[in-house]
Amino acid sequence: MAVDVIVVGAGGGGPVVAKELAAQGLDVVLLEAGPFYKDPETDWTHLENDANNPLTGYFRFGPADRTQPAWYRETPQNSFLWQLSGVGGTTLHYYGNCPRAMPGVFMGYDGADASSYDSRVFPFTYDELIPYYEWVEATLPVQTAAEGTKEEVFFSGAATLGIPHNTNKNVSQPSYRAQENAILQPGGTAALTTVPLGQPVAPGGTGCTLCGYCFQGCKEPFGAPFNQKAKRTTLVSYVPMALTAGLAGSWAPHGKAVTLIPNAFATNVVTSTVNGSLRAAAVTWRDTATGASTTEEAKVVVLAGGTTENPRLWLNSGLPNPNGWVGRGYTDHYFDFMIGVFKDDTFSSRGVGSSARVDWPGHGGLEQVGLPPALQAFALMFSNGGMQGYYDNGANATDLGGQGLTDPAWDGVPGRPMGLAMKTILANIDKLVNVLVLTDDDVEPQNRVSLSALNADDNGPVAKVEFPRGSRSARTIANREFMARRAGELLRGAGAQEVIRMDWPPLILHVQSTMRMGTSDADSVLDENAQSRFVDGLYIADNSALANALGGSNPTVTCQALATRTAEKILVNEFGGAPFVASGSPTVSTDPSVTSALSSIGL
Amino acid sequence: MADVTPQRYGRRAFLVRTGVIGAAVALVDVPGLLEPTRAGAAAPSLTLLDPIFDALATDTINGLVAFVVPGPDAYSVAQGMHDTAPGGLDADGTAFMLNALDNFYPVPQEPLLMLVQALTTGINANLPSVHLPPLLDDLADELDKALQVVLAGETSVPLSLLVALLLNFAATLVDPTAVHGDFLSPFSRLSFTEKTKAFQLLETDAANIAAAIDGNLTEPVRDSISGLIEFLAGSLLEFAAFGSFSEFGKFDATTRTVTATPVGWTLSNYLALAPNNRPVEGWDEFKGYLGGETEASE
Repeated sequence: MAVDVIVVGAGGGGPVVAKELAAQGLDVVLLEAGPFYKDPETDWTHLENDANNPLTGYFRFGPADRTQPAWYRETPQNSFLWQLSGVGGTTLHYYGNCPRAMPGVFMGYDGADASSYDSRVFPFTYDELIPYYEWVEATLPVQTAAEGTKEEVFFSGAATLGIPHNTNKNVSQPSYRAQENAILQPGGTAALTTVPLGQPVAPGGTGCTLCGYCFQGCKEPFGAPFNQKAKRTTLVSYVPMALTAGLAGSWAPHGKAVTLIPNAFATNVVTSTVNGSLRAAAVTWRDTATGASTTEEAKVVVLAGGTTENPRLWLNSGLPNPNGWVGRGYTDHYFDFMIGVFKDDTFSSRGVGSSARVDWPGHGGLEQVGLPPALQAFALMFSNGGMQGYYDNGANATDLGGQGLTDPAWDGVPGRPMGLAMKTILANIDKLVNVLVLTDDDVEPQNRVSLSALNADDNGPVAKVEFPRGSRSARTIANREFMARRAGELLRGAGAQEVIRMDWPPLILHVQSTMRMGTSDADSVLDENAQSRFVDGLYIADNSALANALGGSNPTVTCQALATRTAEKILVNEFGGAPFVASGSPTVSTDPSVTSALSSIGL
Repeated sequence: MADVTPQRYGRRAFLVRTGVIGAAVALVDVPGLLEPTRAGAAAPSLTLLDPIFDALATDTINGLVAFVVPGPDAYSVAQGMHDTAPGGLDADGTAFMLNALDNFYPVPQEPLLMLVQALTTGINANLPSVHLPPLLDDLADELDKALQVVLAGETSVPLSLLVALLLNFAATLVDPTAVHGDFLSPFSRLSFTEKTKAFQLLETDAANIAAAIDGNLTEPVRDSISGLIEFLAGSLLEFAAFGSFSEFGKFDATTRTVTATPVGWTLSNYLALAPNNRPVEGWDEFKGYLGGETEASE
């Protein structure tokens, strides 16, 4: 007998749909290709290679068995696709940044700067999404980030840009602000005392301890219950709610607990013909440990396997692609990276990965980024600009739009500082401030996922992710150049002694829009309800469903707001249910009722 | 009858350029290696060649790690950029790279094998010819046979060897005299500036390399191979840096803790103020809220 809904992927978006539909009493199966981390305090360390090595680390895209190789994706250019498998998905290593999208990327926007944005807009208005933002922000919850030293330095520079401090959740003009983060604010002794490794923080301390290890997985405050960890990855927020819906004393008394199946790599979406139309009917997955294959029928299938893997699964399943847009339109915020070297301590290796940002509607944004040393070293070698002082790899013409390799906003030319120059910059990691340049980049068809001609693995032909160098739109390049200059000015305004520009190749980390929803059936895969235009009963509920790059805003909270909206559409359109967001009030995922229900299932 | 085709000379030149013949001469008893063949054995002994390939790969990666994070080691000194402070080799950067490349790097072997095979047969006739004394000429033939077995996919090839062959080939394009000298690896014999030129070749001329080495490569494989060269060039640098500044060299896999302060932590002054110089559960780092605002408005 078919279950109501199968959700493929337990990353940033899938658990949102699963939790919301489970709360309404639907029978939901949630598949995840990677492992289920049930005890972050012992599963994870604060060590970079153990955590983040893309080949061997626990946060890699690969099977749970770390003695086995990672899963391959072909990236035929200098680039790095940095994602991971596991319940929680890429929210396991994210910084919890939850800025709402720029209003200008939605249908119906009529601001004076309307022409500044990507013309491929969302097929509904910004105002329509706000109640869903509020629902997600209350559930995670999202809170205003606390400051540490590096944020004070960043803000001192931001204030020199001549833009105001924004205290609103919505962005209407160039401005700077503390991040709205899915990270619990420090409470009690947390972040007021230095706590040695292995010593408990809870219960005297609650929320963020400013330990500096967002990217290695948040297990703070050490000793706190599973659903009260500071960083609100879906592993500790939506998944616990999904697993406890309908349990005795539950936050959702009329709900039905989700069946979570980790280590289950979806390999095929099965369809049938119903009333002359193609309709999703079942999902086949492969147990990544045993290799056993299972097929389960469902009334509705929701894909949330990620911006790279959804197109792969679609194409490997032989699903229709009549307009050729499956996998196309990949946006990545065409990052660049600027590093300021300071005379005084910034304590860049402490605190939340990013707690400070600048928003610049129509161009993108900036955010401060703190890193431990191995990732900082990686960042210093990651460049399309060649090696400083040796060769520039054609960066000016290819990456910088001919605006020149030199500029008062940075020192020298973009590229890798080599040898002793790199060691000198890294000589004191706590005197650096990194600024990530977030570009409002265009949806473009040549940036895409297809199937690799080179290789297949146990889960079928692998994904090929292409960002052909030198092919970005003029608007995208201009936006990146504009924001890179603001980044340099910010760092100089904050007193940096040296500013290094990296000219990063694609760091495919903010990933969006490969299965995009859109206003036109000529260049989108999904309709306004996030349902496939080509297969009935098949929805998409992760970043790949986003219509565009959101104006440069970090995508997770918009993905989650959209997934909430999609869950409501599924409930209403497929199961005859009633909308719940406008009339309901969400339970916060840290609620003690969730904690006690979790303990009843051993978490 | 001896193979006198242009392909044979191309493959022989490849063996010289990539350091394979040099490593063999340095590491093994050449007449002994050749004896089984002279006695009529049909195929060369791959087992005998493994130490040569392993040593060549290690030596090449040593030169790469010293390039990315120079220290006081011989490779850094030889390249003309060194430091009194420890470098990537002191951080066990080579072991990190070999482990990653040979055990976990999920690049499929097929395209790399195609690339190396193309390099071995397609070396441009315009490159300086390679003349070998008779004994080495025989050795070249045997190594060539062994390499053909390897490239035919009849044995497992460590990715580190393929990377080493690629780096060493690029090295001899930058400096043809790098086929001789200290170390086993032509890449490791380059000066620091010459090493940057080798990477410049890989980064900027990847498409040309892929296109020129073998006209038999067709789309989309040619694009994929040139893209793979670009990807490899970047990721070799990034991984060497990441490994050298990570805890890898001092990591106890059993306890998942560090046994001593890793080299990269000392180099970057990381955790200098932390208890025992180890990661913490939390820092006394709270400074307040920007403008005193603890909550954004709607």
